[in-house]
Amino acid sequence: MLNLVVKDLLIQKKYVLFAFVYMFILIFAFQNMKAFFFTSAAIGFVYILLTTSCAYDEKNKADTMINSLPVKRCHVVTAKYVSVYVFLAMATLGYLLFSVLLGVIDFPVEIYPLTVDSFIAGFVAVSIMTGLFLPVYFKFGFTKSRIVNFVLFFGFFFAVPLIMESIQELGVDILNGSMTSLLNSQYAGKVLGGLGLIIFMFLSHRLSLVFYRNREF
Amino acid sequence: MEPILEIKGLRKEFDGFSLKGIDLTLEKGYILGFIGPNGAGKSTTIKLVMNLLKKDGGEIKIFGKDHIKYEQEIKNRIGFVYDENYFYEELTVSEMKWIIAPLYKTWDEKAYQKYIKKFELPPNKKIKELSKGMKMKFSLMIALSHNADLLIMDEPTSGLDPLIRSELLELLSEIIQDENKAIFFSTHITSDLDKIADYVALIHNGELLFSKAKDELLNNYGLVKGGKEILNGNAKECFIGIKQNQFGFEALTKDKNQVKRKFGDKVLVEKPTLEDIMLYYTRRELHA
Repeated sequence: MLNLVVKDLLIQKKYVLFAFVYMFILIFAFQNMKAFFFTSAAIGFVYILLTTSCAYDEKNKADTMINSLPVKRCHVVTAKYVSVYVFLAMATLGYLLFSVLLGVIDFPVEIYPLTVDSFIAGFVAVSIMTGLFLPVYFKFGFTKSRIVNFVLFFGFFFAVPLIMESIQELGVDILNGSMTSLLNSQYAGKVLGGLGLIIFMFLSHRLSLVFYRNREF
Repeated sequence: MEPILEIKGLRKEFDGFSLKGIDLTLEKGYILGFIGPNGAGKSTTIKLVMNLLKKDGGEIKIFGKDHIKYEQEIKNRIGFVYDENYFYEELTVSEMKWIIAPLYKTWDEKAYQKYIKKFELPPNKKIKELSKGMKMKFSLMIALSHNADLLIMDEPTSGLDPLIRSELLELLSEIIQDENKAIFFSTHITSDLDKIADYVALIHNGELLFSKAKDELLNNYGLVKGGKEILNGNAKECFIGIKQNQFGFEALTKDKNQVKRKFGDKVLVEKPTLEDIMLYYTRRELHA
């Protein structure tokens, strides 16, 4: 299965480089995104690499080849989900590297440091975006599903940072007002959120698997 | 001895086409040529064997085991060569091998190195930069580098020049010297099979018309030529397909001895090629 993840990187070496350049440019272009800048950058980075890997799979009719090899279909599906988090890890490392480099040379732009909140927001947004997209992709293939991916990307790219900032502001008010014990407890909220995300991704994976097992090539 | 490949009553329905209960058997040590015109159902049958399509009925056993229940185990022992390139064109030969090799339990790196030299394949060249012949050689090299016992080839010679085709056929003849292996070779270029096939199966419109030993076909079948007057009465029953022109007729018979006995010197009986047999079977009534 690991080979299939590496394959997703190898087939798009040029696009990996492009994704890093895109992230670098984004730092200058979206100065107004403030604290949740990383979230948008990560969503964009993952979108580029996921889209390209799916497009190359379809262009090369790779499903015919891969499913003629001794590979289980569940491994093909799981590898794509794992690839998404590998792309996210690369985005995180890239962002950290750019932040440090631009800070060291004292470049005259605002660098928003990678915070735990912005990383979690990025992680959640990427998970939901791909968790919604991949079942559609495994059901219909890339050509028919790319519009879904495109809509999801734009939705998440622009909406998530705005929502997160609103929630953050609202969260402060809630905390100050002590409205409910559940929402007051950040720990309980995070545990519930994390559990919800795991269930969501599990269902997404199962759905993808059901669709892919029934696909014909 | 269990057949390497056994297909019984294989059915698959599509809009406007169906595979109608195919029965095929391939024993160890033999090459089965699977012939038929384009759209006859050759690729569909192969895709069903490889579980790339879901069958609607019937049974497929490979190495004596159900092809879905033991899919991974079976695919470890199958080498495939398809009619077009399905490898990632963006990758180099080495990168593609590097991804595929660990997936096979029986990958033989020495064999791979032997074939890469034999086929003169540049390891650092991208697959999209390879010629069609080179791409086919690469597919074959992957198929041969994990000691596959069954080679499944779907029109591997289509679009290749005569030199590469000849090289491929020679190589297949070498491979089949190992009597534990078998080759399932689909093609519409029947001349490829004249040289190497042991058995020939003909499919047309999703129906298997026959599956016989090649020598039996070529020895018993006959291409009959004669005057039109012979076709009067029940003579047509002796023939599979008849082609008529202003000078006479040409037809295929399953039993050339019967025709010789019946018509004597009135007809000329020649040995048919596999192409003649395919043509007459698939175009029953021909008029020149």
